[in-house]
Amino acid sequence: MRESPIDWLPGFDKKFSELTHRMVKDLEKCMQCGKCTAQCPAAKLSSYNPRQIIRDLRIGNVEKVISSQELWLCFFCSGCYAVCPQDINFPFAIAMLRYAALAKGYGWEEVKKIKDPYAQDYYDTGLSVSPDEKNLGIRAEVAKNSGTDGRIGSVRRKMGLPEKRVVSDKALAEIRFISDATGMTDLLKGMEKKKGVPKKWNYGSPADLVRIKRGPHQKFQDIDDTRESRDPGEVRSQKLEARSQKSGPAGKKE
Amino acid sequence: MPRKKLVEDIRVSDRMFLFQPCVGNNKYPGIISAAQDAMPKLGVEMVTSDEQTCCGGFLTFTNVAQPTSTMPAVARNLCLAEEQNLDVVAFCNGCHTFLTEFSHFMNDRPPVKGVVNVILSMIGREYKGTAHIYHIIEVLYKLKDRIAEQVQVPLTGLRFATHYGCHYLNGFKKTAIDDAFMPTVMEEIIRACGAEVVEYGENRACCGTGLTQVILHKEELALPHTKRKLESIKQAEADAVVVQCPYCQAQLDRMSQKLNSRKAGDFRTPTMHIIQLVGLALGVDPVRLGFDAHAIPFDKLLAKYRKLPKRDGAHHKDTKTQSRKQEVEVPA
Amino acid sequence: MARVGVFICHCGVNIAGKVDVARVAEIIGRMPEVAFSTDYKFMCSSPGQKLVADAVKEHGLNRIVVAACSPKMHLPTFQKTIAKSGLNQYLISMANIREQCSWVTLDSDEATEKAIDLVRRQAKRVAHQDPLEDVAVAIEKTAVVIGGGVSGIQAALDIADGGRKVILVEKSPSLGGKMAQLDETFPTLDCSQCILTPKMVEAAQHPNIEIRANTTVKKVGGYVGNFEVTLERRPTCVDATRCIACGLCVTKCPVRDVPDEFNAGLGKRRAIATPFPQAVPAIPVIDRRYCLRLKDSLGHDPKSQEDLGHVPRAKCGACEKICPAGAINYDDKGAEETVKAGAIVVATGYQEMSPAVYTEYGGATYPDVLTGLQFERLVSSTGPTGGHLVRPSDGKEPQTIVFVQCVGSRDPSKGHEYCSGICCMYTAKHALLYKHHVPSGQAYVCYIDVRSPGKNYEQFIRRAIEEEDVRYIRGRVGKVQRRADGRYRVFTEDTLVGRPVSIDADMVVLASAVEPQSDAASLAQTLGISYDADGFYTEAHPKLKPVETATAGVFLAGACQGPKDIPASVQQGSAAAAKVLALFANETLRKSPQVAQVDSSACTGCLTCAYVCHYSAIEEKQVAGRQVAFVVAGKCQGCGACAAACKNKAVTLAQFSDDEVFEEMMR
Repeated sequence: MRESPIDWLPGFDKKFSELTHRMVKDLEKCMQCGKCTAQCPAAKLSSYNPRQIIRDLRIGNVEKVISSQELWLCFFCSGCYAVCPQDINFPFAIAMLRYAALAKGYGWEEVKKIKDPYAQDYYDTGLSVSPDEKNLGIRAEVAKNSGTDGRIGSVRRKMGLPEKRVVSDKALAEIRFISDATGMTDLLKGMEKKKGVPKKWNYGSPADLVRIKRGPHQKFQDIDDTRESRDPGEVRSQKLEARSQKSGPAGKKE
Repeated sequence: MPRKKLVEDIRVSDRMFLFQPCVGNNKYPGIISAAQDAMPKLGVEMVTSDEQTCCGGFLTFTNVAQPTSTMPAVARNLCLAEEQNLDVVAFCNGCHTFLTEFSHFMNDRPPVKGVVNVILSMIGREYKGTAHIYHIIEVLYKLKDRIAEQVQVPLTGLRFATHYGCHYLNGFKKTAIDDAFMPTVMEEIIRACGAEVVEYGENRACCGTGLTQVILHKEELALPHTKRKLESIKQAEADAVVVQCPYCQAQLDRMSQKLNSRKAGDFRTPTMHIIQLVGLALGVDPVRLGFDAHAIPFDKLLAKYRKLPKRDGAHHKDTKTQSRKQEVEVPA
Repeated sequence: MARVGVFICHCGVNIAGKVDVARVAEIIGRMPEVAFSTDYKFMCSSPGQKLVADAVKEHGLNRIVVAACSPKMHLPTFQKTIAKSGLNQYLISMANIREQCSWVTLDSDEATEKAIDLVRRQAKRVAHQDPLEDVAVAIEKTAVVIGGGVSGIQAALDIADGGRKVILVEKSPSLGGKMAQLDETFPTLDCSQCILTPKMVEAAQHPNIEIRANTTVKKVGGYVGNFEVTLERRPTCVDATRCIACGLCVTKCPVRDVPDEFNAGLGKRRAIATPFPQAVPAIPVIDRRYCLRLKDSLGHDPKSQEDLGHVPRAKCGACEKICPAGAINYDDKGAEETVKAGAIVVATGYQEMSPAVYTEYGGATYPDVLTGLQFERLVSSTGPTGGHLVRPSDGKEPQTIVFVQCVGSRDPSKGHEYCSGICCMYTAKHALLYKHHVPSGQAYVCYIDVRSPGKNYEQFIRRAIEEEDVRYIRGRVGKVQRRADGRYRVFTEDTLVGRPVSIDADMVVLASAVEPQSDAASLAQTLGISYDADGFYTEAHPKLKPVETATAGVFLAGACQGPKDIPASVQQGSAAAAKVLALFANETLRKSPQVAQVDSSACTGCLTCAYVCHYSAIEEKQVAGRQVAFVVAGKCQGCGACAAACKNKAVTLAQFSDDEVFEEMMR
């Protein structure tokens, strides 16, 4: 439960407010009703469980939350916030908890993967989306639809827009200055060296993840379907161990 | 049901700052050109600036940068509008969220604003916090009657499904202009354009972009979720699904293509941004609406559209897109 | 010559733990006016009181100061003690050295000094207090009970059985309230109407009870023992003195699609109707919003007729034609009447919150997503389907039903923060009723906690779970999705397992919150009573005075004071009745003499005091040919506004004369 004897001292609850940079209040108001998890799209697909994460924070299992794989599965849809009777802004808490995780070394591999497409593009061009289309399938479709080579520049030209969205040099200098002055540049540079501490499936197992098998028949293993239900009234639990056990060895990442 | 009091408080000016969404510019540029052509027909001139960058706030929620870095970047972008005394119109749920949240945060905490302005002062700017940030759906809803008046091609018989996305309605559960679970503002705008709205079961489901396009390598996890949404949309047999966010647009459009290419489904419903739809109804040249940039084509919808009568009986502009029969070499 | 006795209480360690009580007693004892000064462990105890009584006798004390807790706690205790010892009970003052001293001061020395100061001031003040006699006020021994639900009926019956007259006021056409809408009650599963209607009939037949149906309270003047209550009967267009309750008019009325309030919005009724078959009184009432005939007398179509899509026909008069008793009177304008009453009991009950804001559940939108009361009406034999539990959308019997708890309760975000108290129990009851109607069906209850505090309540819940296969899932429902096939997918989490679950259901019942009636606030203002932030009426003390209000003579009973079940409502009805009978038991009402008085020789007759008086307690009077002001002691509440306003210092407030106030204030 609480991770160390010292966690039982008064003032403990302030510990996780420090974690969240004091930007998220009200986690103590959570009455564990479960409305958040009930509608959470990520919870349907994995062992991610927002209610349980709040519970763990409240009773002191901070390390469990921060070292977990599940922390990185939130869709950021804010559905939990929309239904919460106590108006707890949980997506914000997730964002802050991820910072806390990174501070302890967990999750760098996640952030590194988006560093280039986002932060680097932002630094280089001022936009966080690159004009290059790396997905050849998409490019082919766009080429077909537009009668061009499929590059966004060509499509833009055809539409009467300048080929490139150009951000002025002045603006680039300004955002680079802000990035340098506030430490973002150094953070990005230093990220290369960061070796992530391995995260764990603290709330379930990899088998809980819905897997998409890419095989010759390209079957999809859905957790649910839009077919009308055959068994009236059956409670469909999103526990996936049974299913994934049936389908063979799980845990293999595509 | 829309929140009347909040709708009353919306102030539409005759010049507003068009906050260009990144995904818009480099994936679905039709949003930008549609806005530039359609909004003046409603009496709103859209002002753009070369100095506007990505909002920046988004980098916080991908944990690539800390709020200390991204808040000044957001403030800097807002300065551009403030300097021209303009309010900002965001065309993306994400832009709107980050601009609004961060500006509220700064306005509510003068010390934070002060620190931000220290940094901004070094580049000769100051964030005052006066620019109001609107989502395009708010502006369009407020102008609903004007849209109805200005419609050039009533979209009679066209059927649209709606997808509001998450960040606007959920993230602003009390201050958005409509309810998070049974919204109707987009439906009303679509009807003002003369079209019909079809319902589908998963209409308030998240598109799944958060796990696909934001934290890229988890797209396989979100794919079943997005597939379920697309299946539901398919059953509704809509001519297109209308969104208010380019990220949602990218997700629904591109995941349709991905699932199709894996033979895991046959999803042909194209995705359009509400401004593209309004543009279509207001008679903006479809080329300017940028349907060419989409993966799922608009052929069928445009074919129907071309048959619709214009209000004043004039011809349609040349709206033919490139014939699909032509093979185009795709560079490696 | 004042001989003041001072008694410093230790209050265990509450005071003595901080204040050096012996020293206080000693220092105070040195004052010239103090004849006796001591300290004692618990002044409020019997020995403590005996100490006072003995000291009065032994030392010939004629004024008393007790330094202890707040006078709100024990002033009456000591007043009675000294009265028994022969002293006038108003020759005492208390110094609060607990709540205002030992409990709020950290430093002992500071606390002791402050205690000495507080006691010294009271000792000086009390020397100037004069003996006073209670004021006797006449009591009108009639009670007005507002609200004809089970709580109001119980209060009325108990007061009437106690030999006093009751006027029972009910705004709807019949007695019964929410209990009349129920099918069966928990935990016994008694037929609700079967146990209620005997009480309703008893009330109607009781010689001491007069029922005023279709009536609301318009205005209340006066004060305890002497209220003037103005009642307003709305126009019903049916003469209650002639109607024989044959029901023929209802069968002939051509307007058949008026939304039926008694059936919680399910089902339709006629424009002339009684709410339910066992109504008391059984007099039908014409709904002026929908009656076709009334178009003429109003001169225009009531808007609601357009809502129903009717083409107004000016010549209807079907009910008047068929009535054998000539009881229909389209010209009825209603009536106003003012009655005198000595006490008022407020038993106006609650309303069920509309779930329209719960768009995530489709509340008030999806046809088969119902509220608790709507479910009750569906299973009731007098309901819109004759007791057949079917889906409103297609008339089919639901094979799977999900009960959603806490809709609007325990929800600061868009509902009420409080718990409505009755829903856990009535949901279990609904689940059982469902299983009795559809034995092969499956019932699920989605809850956060199960609250079952009453007698046999927990056993009732266990019966539902253990014996009747109602499936309880701990998790608050996040969303109800309407499916293309007309069924509903309910998304919740089984928090005890830690996984989200979904249930495909045919019907969803929302346990919608208990909230105050929409007109509760305006009634409170009419009566001059307070209500809390949630809108429920405020009792005089949350623990010890549950049925009294801060306004003397106005009592509370039932759900208007806070959500509660039937036994608690009945208990409060009887409790309020007991208070009323106690009030009426005396010949006159003894009222506090701490009232204002005008010295007519100093009064110039400007009547500024009358202008500032909130209680209309000051009148004009002729004294020796001059017009002067005069305080009606019975009405005066002792606020002192008049004394402050008088420019001539002609008005004095008893126990707050200049001498008394300055002695207490000055160093």
